[in-house]
Amino acid sequence: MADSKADNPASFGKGGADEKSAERKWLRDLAPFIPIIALGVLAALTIDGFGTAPNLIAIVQASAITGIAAIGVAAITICGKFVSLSIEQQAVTSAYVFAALYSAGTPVALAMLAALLVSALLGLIQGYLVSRGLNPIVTTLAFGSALFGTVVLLADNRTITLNPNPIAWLGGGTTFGVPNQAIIFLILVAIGSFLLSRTKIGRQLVLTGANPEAAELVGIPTKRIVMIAFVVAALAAAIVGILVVGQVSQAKSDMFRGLTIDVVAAVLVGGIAIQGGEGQLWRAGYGAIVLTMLSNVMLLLGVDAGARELLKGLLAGAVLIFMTVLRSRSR
Amino acid sequence: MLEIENLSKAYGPVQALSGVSFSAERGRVTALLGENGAGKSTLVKVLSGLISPSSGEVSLDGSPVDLSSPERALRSGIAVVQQEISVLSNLTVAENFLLAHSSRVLNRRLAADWCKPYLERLGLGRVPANASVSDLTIGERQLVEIARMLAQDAEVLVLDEPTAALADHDIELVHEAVRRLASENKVILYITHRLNELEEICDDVVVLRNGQLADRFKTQDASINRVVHAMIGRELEELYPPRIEHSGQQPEPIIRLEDVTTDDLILPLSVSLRPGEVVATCGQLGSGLVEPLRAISGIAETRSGRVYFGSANGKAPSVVDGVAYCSEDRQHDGFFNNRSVWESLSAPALAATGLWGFVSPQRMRKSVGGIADRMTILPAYRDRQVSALSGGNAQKVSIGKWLSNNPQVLLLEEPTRGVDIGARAEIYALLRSLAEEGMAVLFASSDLDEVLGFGERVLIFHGNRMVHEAPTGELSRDTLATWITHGGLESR
Repeated sequence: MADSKADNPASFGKGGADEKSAERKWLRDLAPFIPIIALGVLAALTIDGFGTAPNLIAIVQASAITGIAAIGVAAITICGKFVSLSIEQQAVTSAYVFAALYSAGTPVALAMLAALLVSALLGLIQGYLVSRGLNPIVTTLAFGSALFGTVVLLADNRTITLNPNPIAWLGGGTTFGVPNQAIIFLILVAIGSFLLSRTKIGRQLVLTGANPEAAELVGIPTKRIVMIAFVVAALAAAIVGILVVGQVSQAKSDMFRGLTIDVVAAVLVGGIAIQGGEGQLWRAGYGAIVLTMLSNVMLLLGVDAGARELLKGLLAGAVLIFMTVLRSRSR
Repeated sequence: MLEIENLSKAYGPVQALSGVSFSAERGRVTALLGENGAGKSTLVKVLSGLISPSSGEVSLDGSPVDLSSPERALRSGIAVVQQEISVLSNLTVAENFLLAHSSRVLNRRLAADWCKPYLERLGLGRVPANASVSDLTIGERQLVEIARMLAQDAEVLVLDEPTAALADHDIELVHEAVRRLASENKVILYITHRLNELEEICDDVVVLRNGQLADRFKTQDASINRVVHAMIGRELEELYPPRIEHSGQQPEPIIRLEDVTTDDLILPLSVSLRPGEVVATCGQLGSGLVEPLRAISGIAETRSGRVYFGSANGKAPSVVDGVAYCSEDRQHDGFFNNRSVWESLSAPALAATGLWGFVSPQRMRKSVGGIADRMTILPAYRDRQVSALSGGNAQKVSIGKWLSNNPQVLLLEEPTRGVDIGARAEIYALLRSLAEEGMAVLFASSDLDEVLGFGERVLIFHGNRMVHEAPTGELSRDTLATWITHGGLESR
């Protein structure tokens, strides 16, 4: 099989050929940007007020929630375990933990810490199961369902309202006109990208996704890496939970309906290879922005909900197909 | 007569085949040779209908052949027996035959009668049609595969390294079958890496290099030099580097196995490995030859006995101690296929530094430059994905990655399987120089020439136990062959 690949640089026909393959890589790297540019230009030309700063900032803010959750899930995707389907339930859980503890008189910081810790523990449990060979999709699906049931039971399906809301500034406030949520989102993207490419754990995460067997043989602790990836995703979900409580001043069971699928779509649309071992973290955040922009445009145009869902799904599918085709062509 | 005319195939910028023309006559075995990346596999894929050529034509007895799909290729009489054996081992021989003929209703008795003559034609008459394929030797499975193709009225048989994974006895079976088929006036295209097979069964030789026809001649006009020159485009000084004389005091063993047994090693094994030694384990597939390597690396659990590392305590060795292990399946676990070459090369060093802390990708890339130089991996390849490399270069990555960790013991399974002759020589030279620097090299191989040419000492395995240990200088090829096939010297 390896035979079909030229061994001798001479057969690459020098220079020109290398340029061509570089061009292809360039194309693959930029492929995910095509929809956002097309969409942006189209929207700016046809819709009044789309291109204005306030609207663009609004888009980034609206994509922050999906985006933060998506960069967490991207860690799971890149380490080769596809996605977590329990994001929405984990976000709900941490929202409830925070709101309930604060309502009961716990200091804000402590309540936040507790929400993060509970979520990290939940992520660790799922990561442990998956690292021991359970299928990540099925495991997180079942875990999310069980978790959601437990939370609803414990909270008696009540809505917990925060009055006063101590973190309204975090969820809804702005700094120099920029929404705080969007700032947190961008900071997390930067931190995540840095961790992935310039820390030992980040690079080992990528290698684990690229080939788990080889990673194991060279001494990378693949099981721990997988667990860490799930903890990272869980922490991202917890941050999302806390931020939205800050934004809407309450925790209720259906506050994140549809988040998981948006997150998965964001990972795919951003161009992170679903089989793992490739891709940068920022792409997940970027995918979230594309999806939000799409929703924004369709809302402005008055497209109805069903069509919006359909288009979102089609976009994710199209990017997936496009990447697969490019990959097989470059073989 | 099978005629291939001006066949070209380009993968993007890579010209895998360019203007290849040759013909293979009926009743003769035509060998197809070439290094990895020379275009053999591409040619095979074209003939089997898996890929369509960019240009060119293939005709059989004067009329063009339709190669637009594997099914059509087979219907026009071209059958390709792939390198990976594709008979299903949990079915019986007859059932495997039926698979090929989807139109037939599954009737075991009829199937048995139907496949019998084909089996007999290949000298497999003694194999009952209702035998489970899993009970056959690998060579017999290979023949079942060929027989299955005959049942489809194949006129052209393309055999892609049919003997690569076989032991000597099975190789003889396949050779006999091939001769028989040639005498039935079939066209046979025989792809091989084993040069000694030319003399044994081939009539004509076609050599590809860099996607072009490099040379073609009759076997009687062939010399090893001519073949090798055609394959690699230059003279090969020597395949195996000269031995080092171990003079004076022998160093203390670095690895000692004491009465070790594993799931696939039933007799307790005690051997030791000294720094600077190149030791081979030899045997047929499944004879237990890889067990010492796996026991030392910890891949296989020891059921009893102990592995000692260094002169001191009975601590089990590990990657951290400098034990490097390359499995026989480098595609599976030898490197990171979709990442750059330098990332695979630096992976063990990265893993050894633990999980916490920062790294600079640029510095990592630079730090393995020396290793890549030493492994003779061209700079142009270092930023490329491993998946774009040929078998030889990929194996260099697989072995070379360990050098970033300065291992003391190198364990290699089938170090040159699927590696072309030029890269083989480079790998041997490298391993030898590592040994000279004090590394202990233990390799498992079923290639007798490699064992005798490169090993200094050989541990011979048969039936899941070690049956003999000797310096390779004291063994002839025939003796070694007898040992590994019979587990002793008293021949039947």
